[in-house]
Amino acid sequence: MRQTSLVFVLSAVGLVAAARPAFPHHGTAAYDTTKTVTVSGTVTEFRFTNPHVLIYWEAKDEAGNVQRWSGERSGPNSMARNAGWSSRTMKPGDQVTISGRPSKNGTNTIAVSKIILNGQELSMGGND
Amino acid sequence: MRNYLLVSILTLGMAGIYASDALAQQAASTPNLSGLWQPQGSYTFDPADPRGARAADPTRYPMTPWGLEKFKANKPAHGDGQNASSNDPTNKCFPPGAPRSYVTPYPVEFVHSATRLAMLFEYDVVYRVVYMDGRGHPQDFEPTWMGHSIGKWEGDTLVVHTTGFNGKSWLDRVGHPYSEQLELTERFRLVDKETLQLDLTFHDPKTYTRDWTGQKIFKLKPTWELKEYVCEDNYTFDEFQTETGVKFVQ
Repeated sequence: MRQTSLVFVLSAVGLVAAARPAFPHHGTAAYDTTKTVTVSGTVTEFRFTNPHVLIYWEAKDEAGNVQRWSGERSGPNSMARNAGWSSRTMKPGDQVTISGRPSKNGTNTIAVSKIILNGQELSMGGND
Repeated sequence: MRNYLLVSILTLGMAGIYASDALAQQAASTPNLSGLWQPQGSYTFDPADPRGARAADPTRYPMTPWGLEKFKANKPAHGDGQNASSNDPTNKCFPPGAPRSYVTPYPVEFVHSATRLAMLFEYDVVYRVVYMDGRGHPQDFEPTWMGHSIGKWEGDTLVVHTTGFNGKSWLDRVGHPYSEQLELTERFRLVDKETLQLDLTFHDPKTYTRDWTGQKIFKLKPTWELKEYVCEDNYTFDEFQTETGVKFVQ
C-alpha cells in the first residue's frame, strides 16, 4: 500500500466505543463515533493552536484525485503535557497515516485518535 | 485624655499584632495549599457522574421552574447531552467564572499565604482571590463572574464563602444554571500530599429548591508549569469550521 493511497476502514461500533474521545469546546457531537476512518497522505499544514490542534494533509482517492483532509485533536496544552507534542511535531511534507472518527456531515474531517508519522506511531497522550 | 488616647492606640496596636500573630500561628498549623493542581474529570461536580448522564435528574439537581427553564435553554457542548449547536457562553469567550473554572481540563495554580489564597487559572488566564484576613463581604459589591470570596480554617479544612455572582455563566459544562442569588461554600481539604478534595455546597433559591452539593478532586502536578490558554485564539478555528462544518461557536 503506497503512503499516498487513500484507505477507508470502517469498523463496527463495538471496536471503537470503549475509547470515546472527548474534546474541549465542541465535544464529539459533530463526529460519527460508530465509525473509524484511516487516511494516508502528505502533511500540508500543522496548527498547534487552541482550542484544538489541527492537521491538514492531502491524499489521493482511488481515482487518483488529490483530496484535502483535516483532523483535530485535543488542545495544545494538553497535547504538550500528555504526549510531548509541540509546534514542531509535524511539518509540511511529512508522511502520515491518520485514523479517527469521520465527521457526520461527510466532509473530509476526522476526530483524530491515531497517527503514524513517517513510519513511527505518535504518542497521543490522554484525551481531556 | 492624652494618656487615654495613648492607651487606646497601644491597645489597638497590640490587638493588631496579636491578630497577626494568630494568623501566623494558624498558618503554621494548617496546610499550605500552594501548588499546581489538575482537576479530575472535566464536565461536572459529581465524580460518580462525570459525563452528566444525570444532569436532568430533579432528585440530583432540584431546579425551580425558573431554573428548569434556564437549564432547558442551555445546550452544552460536552457530556452525554452534548449538542453540535451548543450555546455554551464560553464558546464566545465569556469567562467561565467561579466555580466553573474548576471544570476544565486545565490546571490551576494556588498561591497561598496566611491572609490570601490566590487561584491562577490556566484556562483563559483568569484569577480569583480568597481573603483570609478576617474581613467580611463588602456591602456594595458589584456582581462579577468570580464573586467575592472570604475564607477561614475549620481544623484542617479551609472553608471559603463566595457571594456577589453575576449569574451569567454555567455552574459546570453540562449546562446547570445559577443566578445572582448564588452563595457558594467550598471546603478544601488535603487528603494526602498530592490530593486535594473540594466539597461544594450550592445555595441559590432562585434556581434550586434546596441546597445541593458537589465535589472535585485535584491532583498535584509538581513538574508542570502553567501554560497560556487565551480563548480568543479559538477564533483561528473559524477557517476550519467554515471548511468542515464542524462548529463550536453558535
